[in-house]
Amino acid sequence: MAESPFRPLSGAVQEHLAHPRNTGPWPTELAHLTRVAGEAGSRTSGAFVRFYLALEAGQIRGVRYEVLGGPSLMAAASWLSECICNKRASPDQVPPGMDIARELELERSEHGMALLVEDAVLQVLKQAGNGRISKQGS
Amino acid sequence: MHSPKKVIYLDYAATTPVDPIVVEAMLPYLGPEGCFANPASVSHAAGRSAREAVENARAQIAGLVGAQPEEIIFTSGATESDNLALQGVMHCCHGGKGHLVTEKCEHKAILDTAHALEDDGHSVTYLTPQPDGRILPAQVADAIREDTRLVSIMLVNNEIGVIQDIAAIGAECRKRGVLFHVDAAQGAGKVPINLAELQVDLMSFSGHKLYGPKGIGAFYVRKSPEVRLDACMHGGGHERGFRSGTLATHQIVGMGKAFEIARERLAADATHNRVLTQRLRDGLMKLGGVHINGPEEAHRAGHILNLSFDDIVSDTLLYLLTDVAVSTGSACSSASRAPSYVLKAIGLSDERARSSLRLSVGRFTTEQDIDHAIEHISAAVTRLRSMAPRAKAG
Repeated sequence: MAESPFRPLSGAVQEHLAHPRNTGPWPTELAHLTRVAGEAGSRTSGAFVRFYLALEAGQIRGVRYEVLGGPSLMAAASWLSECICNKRASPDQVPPGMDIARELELERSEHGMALLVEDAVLQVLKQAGNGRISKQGS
Repeated sequence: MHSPKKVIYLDYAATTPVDPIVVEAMLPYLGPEGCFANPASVSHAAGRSAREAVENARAQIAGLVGAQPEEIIFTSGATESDNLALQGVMHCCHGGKGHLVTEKCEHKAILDTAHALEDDGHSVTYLTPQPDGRILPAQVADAIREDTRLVSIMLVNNEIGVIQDIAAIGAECRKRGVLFHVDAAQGAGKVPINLAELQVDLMSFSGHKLYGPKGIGAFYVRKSPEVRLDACMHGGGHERGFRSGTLATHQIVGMGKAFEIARERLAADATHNRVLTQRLRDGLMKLGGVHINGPEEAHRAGHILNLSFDDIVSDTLLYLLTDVAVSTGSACSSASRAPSYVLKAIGLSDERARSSLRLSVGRFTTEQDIDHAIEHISAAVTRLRSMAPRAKAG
């Protein structure tokens, strides 16, 4: 079988893969909050992420995400979820994808995954800004 | 519970451990007190002893596959044998440009060589397999043209385990006067081969796929009817002029011993492998959303199982499987993960191809290994699925 260029993961990616942040059911104290969803990528390309933000008075009180993809995408989703939690629900609070890539020490070929998670969160904030609130998320 | 330090090895299709009996057989051919002489140095007893060991190994390899010993050439591996087959035939005798028939699921040793032949001006037809991976003899027959010199079809596919009907394909080739090469790297020792009856002209073998050492292979070249091909390696005219270079006695002895053991254990190993892959399949199917890729059991080598798992990407699954050695069929290419070309060739979607794992068992795999692998893989798949996207947001 052809050798797969199975690259070693950075410590940061390994950490998020082993201990992904903001997964599992929503805490009960956030159950009453409005949740907005946004997504980026495609299942067929093997890289897809959907974020759910629980909002209150313009603040991100909770984050959850669903992800289908490689280790870099999963780590980036986890990292960003931790970063934006309890921040103002504003695009200027979302780190650019290249900053995410740098923090996670992603290989150049994986930078797109960091851009994808940035896009997904910006999509959520756009939905929230347009008043398009989806059904309460997972 | 397994010791966390022991990795459960389920990648026998990639390579196998050297059988301890093979290791013992090789040791006397190393070291200053051993039989280390050059087998070509037949002017002295030491060289003749080495020569004898080589010829004995040649007979052992021939014995597994129903060939005459003199029809077996030693190479550095199946990749070299594949190159020798394709380049040796297509470039033979300065016969100008010709046509090669092969198929899309071949090992890269065949496909990359075929591409190189195309760059050289030869033409190549890549047959598309059936959804179960099989190539129909009629497909081969239809592809053969007046200028076809060689057909190359592998016996057992390394990713999905499909067994090709090389008897029927060989008959079609012989009817039309076209040489037939078979890459048997994955098939030798797993399915019976009798070259005395098969209409196969050239066949490639690997040492390390059958509990022999790495870095050694063999190449069958039929003597009657004679097969003409050009050598790729020149420098002394060893191995009937097909492959020059000093023979690695210890590796050859190892490969010979491995093939002898495989001949003795052919049925037992096949049963052992089949029972284990069935156990693995049954255990993992309980997860739900698991699909077998490739042929049904009757047409699949018993040691290979290729499964797809809904809602996961197998590259990530691999990183989570720290205690299980398996492989995927995908290859990373720049920013996108290219799914397995084999799985794509049999018509699987990108999603299904990207969620596939190849699991392969072998002589030293135990039921306990299988049960622990099921436990680890199930836990990892369940974990990834818990984070996977639902059909719609909400």
